[in-house]
Formats: sequence, C-alpha cells, structure tokens
Amino acid sequence: MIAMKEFLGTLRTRREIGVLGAFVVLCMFFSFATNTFFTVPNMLNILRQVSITGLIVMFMTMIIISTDIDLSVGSTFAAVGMIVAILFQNGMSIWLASLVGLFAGAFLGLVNGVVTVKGMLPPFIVTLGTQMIYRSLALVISGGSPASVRLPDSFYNVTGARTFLNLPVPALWFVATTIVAGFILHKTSYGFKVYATGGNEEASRLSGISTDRIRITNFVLIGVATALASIIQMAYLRGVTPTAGQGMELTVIASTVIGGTSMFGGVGTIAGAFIGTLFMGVVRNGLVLMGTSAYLIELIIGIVLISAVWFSTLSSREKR
Amino acid sequence: MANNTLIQYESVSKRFGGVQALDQVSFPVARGDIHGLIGENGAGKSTLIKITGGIYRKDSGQVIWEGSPLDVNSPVEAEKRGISIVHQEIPLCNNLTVAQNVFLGRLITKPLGQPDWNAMEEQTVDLFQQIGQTINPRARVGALSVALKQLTSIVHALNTTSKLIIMDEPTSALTPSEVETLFEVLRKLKSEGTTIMIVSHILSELMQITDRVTILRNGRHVETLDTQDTNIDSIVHMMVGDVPLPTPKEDVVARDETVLRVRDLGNRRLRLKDINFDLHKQEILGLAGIQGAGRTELATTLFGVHQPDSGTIEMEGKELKCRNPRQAIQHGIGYLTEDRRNLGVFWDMSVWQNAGAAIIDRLTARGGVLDRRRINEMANRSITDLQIKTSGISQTIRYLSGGNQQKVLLARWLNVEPKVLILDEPTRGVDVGAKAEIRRVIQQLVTEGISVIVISSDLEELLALSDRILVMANGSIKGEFLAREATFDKIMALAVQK
Repeated sequence: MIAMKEFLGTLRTRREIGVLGAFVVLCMFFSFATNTFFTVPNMLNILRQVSITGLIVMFMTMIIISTDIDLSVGSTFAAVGMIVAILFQNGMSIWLASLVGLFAGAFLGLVNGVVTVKGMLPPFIVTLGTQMIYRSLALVISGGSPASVRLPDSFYNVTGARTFLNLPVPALWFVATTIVAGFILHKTSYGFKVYATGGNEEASRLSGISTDRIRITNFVLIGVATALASIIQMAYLRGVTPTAGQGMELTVIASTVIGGTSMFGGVGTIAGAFIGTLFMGVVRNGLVLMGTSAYLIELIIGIVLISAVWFSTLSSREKR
Repeated sequence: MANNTLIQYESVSKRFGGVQALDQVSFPVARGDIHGLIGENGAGKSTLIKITGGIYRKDSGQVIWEGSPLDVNSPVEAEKRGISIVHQEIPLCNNLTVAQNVFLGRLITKPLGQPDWNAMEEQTVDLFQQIGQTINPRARVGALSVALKQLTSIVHALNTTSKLIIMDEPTSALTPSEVETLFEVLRKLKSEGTTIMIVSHILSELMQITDRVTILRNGRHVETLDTQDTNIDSIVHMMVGDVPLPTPKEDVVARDETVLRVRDLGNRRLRLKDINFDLHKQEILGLAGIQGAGRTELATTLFGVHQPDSGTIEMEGKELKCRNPRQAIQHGIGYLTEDRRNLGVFWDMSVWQNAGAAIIDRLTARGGVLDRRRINEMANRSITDLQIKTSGISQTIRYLSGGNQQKVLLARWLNVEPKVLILDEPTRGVDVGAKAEIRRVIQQLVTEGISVIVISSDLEELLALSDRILVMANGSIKGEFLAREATFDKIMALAVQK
C-alpha cells in the first residue's frame, strides 16, 4: 500500500492539484450561481455530455505525453461513424459492423502513426492533412447525406441508453475507458515507455526502447478510442452525419492540457485528463444554466483555457 | 615592447563555482603574430578566449588592449574594439546566402532603408578576394562545405575591421588540403597586419603556422615562447607537467579470452577508419585521445547507434550486427553516454525509473504490468551498491547532485547485466567523492566477469583504471600501451597527431 502511494506520488504532478482546486472552486461557483447546477440529473447530464470527447482525451493525453499530437480525431470520428452506419444499413449485424468500425479506427490511426514516425514528419502537419483526408472519406462514403440507424435494443442498451439509477451508459464507457487508460499509462511498461519517449526520446532509444513503436501504437490506440466514441455517439443519437466531430480535436486537446499535460511532453496523468474533461464540461454546462449568451460562451471558455494552463504551470515555472 | 604588444594579459583569474578556471594568467600577444594557445581539456583556453571576447567577465586581473584596459561586457562591444572570435561551432544562418551572412547585423542600406544587396554582394566578393578566395555571394550557406563555412565566418570577422581574430579549433573538421587553404588565408591576413590567436589540439599544425605559442595547464600560464625555439615533445611535456607516475596495475589473471573482436571497422561519415582491437574478458580497456579523435563515435558504433560501412564486430566468436541500441543491449552491450544532460537523464522521472529504463521489460509481471516488488528490489539494490544519496527510489532525479545522477545512470547499465560495458567519460562533471566511488565500482565490475571499455579525457584516471590503453586520433587507433608502460607523454604524443 505504501509502495502504491509512493508510486502514485511520482506520477502525480503539482499541476494536477491546481486543476483540481480550480475545478472545485468552479463547481462551488455554479452551485451558488444557479439552483439547477448541483442536482443529480444535471451531474449525470454533464457526465454524459463529456463522455464522448472524454473517451478520446484519455488517449490524446498519451499522444501528447510522447510529444505528438493528433488533429484528425474529429474526422476519424465521422468516417468511422459513417462506415458503421452504412454497413449496418446494408444488412450487416451492428455488432460486426462495430467491430469493423473499431478496426477502421485502428487503421486510420496506424496511417497517422506510420506516416509521422517512419516519414519523420511533424505530427501536426500529418494529422492536419489526414484531418482533411478522413473528412473527405466520410463525405465520399456517405454521399454527403446523414444516415439514421434503427438499432436493436440489445445493442442500444449497452451503448446509448440509460441504465440502473438512470446512469447514462456512455458515461459508464467513459469511466471504464479512463480506468483502462490509467492502468496502461501508470501500471505497465508500455506506459513507462510513453513517458520515457516524451521525456527524452534520444535517451530512450539509447536505453533500448523502441520509441517508433510506442508512438505508432499511441496513434492506433487513439484511433480505436475515437471509433468507440463514434459508435457510442451514433447509438445515442440514432444516426450519424458526415460533418460530425468538426472542431472536436480542439475540445479534446483543451481538456488534455487543462488536465495538466505538458505540450512539451513527458508530463501528464490520466487522473488529470479526467478532471480536465469534467472541467470543460462543467464550464459549458454552468454557463448555459446561468443563461449566458451563446455568443459569449466560447469567449469565456477561451479565457478559462488560457488561465487554467497559466495557473497550472506556475509551480513548474518557478523551479526552472 | 609596448607598442609592439597588441594585447597583454595581466594576472587574469576566473572561478566557476569550485573550479579555478584561470589562475593569475599573464602573457603578451604581439601585433601581427599568429599566436597559438595550447593546453589539455580544462586548461583554461576557452575561458581566456571568452573573457577576451566579452562573453565572460574576469574575476580579477587586467587585459591591456593597445595600451589601455579592455573592459568589454558583450561580444558586440568586443567587436567594436576590433576583436572577433571564430567559434568552433560556426554560428551562421544556414538558410541565408553568403553575402547575407557576411553582413548579418550590419546591412548596407539604400536611402529609404531597404537593403542594398548588390553592394553587399560586391563587397563580399571583394572581401573573399582579399584572402585569395573566390565565392558565389548568392550561394546558400547551408549548401557550403565546412571549410567554406569557416571562411565565411572569417570574412564575417574581417568585415568588422578586426585587429585580432581568435580561432577556436579551426581545423578540427577540415581535410588536410582545406587546412592548407585556411593556413594560406591566415598568412595573408598576417601579412596585412592582422593578429591571430589560434587554439588547437593538433600540435603539428601549430608548429607549422604559429610564430609564438602559449601553454596553459590547469588554469595557469606555463610558458610563452617562440615556436622556432621549441618542439612538440617539450610542448607536450609542458602541457601535462611533471605528473607522478600512477602506481602500475598488477597483472591480474591472464586475460586471453577475447570477448569483443573488432576488425577493419570503418564509417566514412563518422571519420572512423581501420579500427582493429580485441577486448579480453575481465579487462578494462582505456581509450585515450583528444576531443574529436572519434572515441565516442567508435563507442556508439559498437552500441548500434551507427552502422559501420566496413569491417566486422565479433562478440564471443559470433559476428554482431546491431541495427539499434536495443539489439546491442540484447547481445549484452551497455553504453553510458558522455552527454548525461541530453542523452542520459530523464529529468522529470524518478530514481527508479531512470535506473530501470533499460530493463523495464524485465520489471514486469504478466502482460507488461509493472511489478512493484521487482522494481523495489532493483532500485534498492542500485542505491545500496552504488551508495546513491537520494531521499527514496521515487525521488525525481532532477533534484540529485550531478555525481548521484551519474551513479543512477551507471546503475541503469549495471542492471542490464552486460558482458561488455562501454563507459564514456564516466566521471566527467562529478565531485571527488562520487568519482572515487564510480572508479571503485568499475574495478569491482571486472571481478564479476564484465569487460569494460573506458573513454576518458582524464589521463590520470585512464592510467589508474585501465589494464591496456588504446590511443585514438583522427578516427583511427594510433597506438596501444599496457597501462604500466604508458606515460602521459607517450600517450599525448600519439593523440596530437593529425
């Protein structure tokens, strides 16, 4: 138990405590400012709202820790959704179609990873390019029109529905994914190598770590997570549009960095990513409940993003 | 003497923390001379240059420049007084043209302030002609050879109408014919009255080009004398001083079992050629040489970072072809880097993470899950064996002293349980206590059956540790000594060959 505590201690950064503090203050503020914020239905609502991006945030955190970035998640999201929906409309079992969708997500991620790593290109540029390519893919296979799906209950119940205690199933997927991602990043040698690659890629290579393999795997993992998010969203909305997920990468990256992950790599945690995800969701939800003008919400979120990151890097800045 | 002296150093001293880099250094440099500055690594040459060029401030003493005290606080001020430095790593903008680089920071402008490229390009051609060279002023600097880059850097210096040009290791990256061209340029500059100070490890070249030489040792001035009145042997002796011979190592068991056999190894890009040697079981083999001799390049080639273009490496009789460090580690080779700061330490990670980085896959239970028990065992053993001072295995390595950081990195390689361990400058930048500790560990290792290659610029250390010493210069092995037969003078004489 002591070892466990010590272990968590090494991985937990001070940034994260700052974010947690800010998050608590924020929640208290909205609780006093509105009488609908701090209610069970609204809490569950927030959890459901953030769960789709949250699934992706966990693996974006790993990507950014190893000093990469993935801007193509929104387009992967749409492309996978369209693939699954069209396969289903053409008579394939939704279970099989979803499996194909997960593999498609893995493949799109693999392309990002291999082109970036083996081509020695900046991931920002590669995934900016594939963002456009994958979006086109979604538009081409759908012919530009949305697809609606009438899913069997057996599938809807494990993806889009609400379950006992009125818990939204997407939120359960989000929590489960967080736990899995936390396990991978903090408890396995793979996670260690992600930190090592981001902390000092050259030193990692000299220590016999295949940094190329780690980085490519990260891209595959985020592809799978994005595909899962897309399938769950499709089930919840009972349909998918080829323009789904536009701008999603920005929310995902914002949640990641609010959670204390450093854009310079090597630093970040899944616990932080979880708080960062909730943080983004709470700000949006709280502002809406307060009746803030829709025109102003993005402005305020922008300010919150910059201040949160500024605040959370204060402690590490003093040290250097 | 006074009006013939351009610059006179008077009791110049400089301290960095606990190290006295310069201690009461005094000597003159005559106007119009080519003056060589000689000393081992750490003798104080760079510090002296940097004080002259306004990069460092001296603690005490005076630099008299043309008869009055020189107090410059920045390279720009130094340039205004007529002092230019051509650094070893040439700071040129590779994306700009030759003319743009030559006039960087002092563009010639037309009346409305727009740069007058035609005028600058013409002047660039003129300046190159002054040193007897032709150049295309519109060529991009990035596409030039090292030699031409260096000339561009020199012309940049000329352009500021310098009276003194200081060159730091100008020939280290040049081919013999390029060196000849450079020397012609220097002689041309000298004939026009420019004074040149040149720092170099390659004594044969200094003998050829300089009028006078100054020898520094451990921050102190040893001698300034006319080049024609001395020779390489006596300079080498002045560089290393009268060092007491280290107690010769007794010959331990006959080490005839060969672990590593290297034959005709070469790599053109790394300038390694015709490397032949054997490493015996339980042997400590020292690699001596000056900076740029190719020792680190040889070590990293053995470790799979680079692939040789010719020759073979055999390990216990089997040919070894490592495409990356991972394969080298799997075959039982470890390599402690000389560049702890950039290539060794994971700064934001803990002591155990740094110590276990090369064996992380062995610290797992099933399915790649980290095994706390094995981690604790590994980390605590490392801390005890190497006497690492840390508050615990989870302490962030950033907060350890340099010596303890180095011990953690050494632990990383001991944990690999290698057959061959290559240690590149294992005691550089660590305090005396850690130094002794690290040496003790190295000697301990061979008794456990490991064979060690030590690279060190500290000759005394090399003589004390090694069974056998190879001397490298210019990418090849120039000689071999049994440690008990080697002396500083013998080693340095081979190391300073071109």
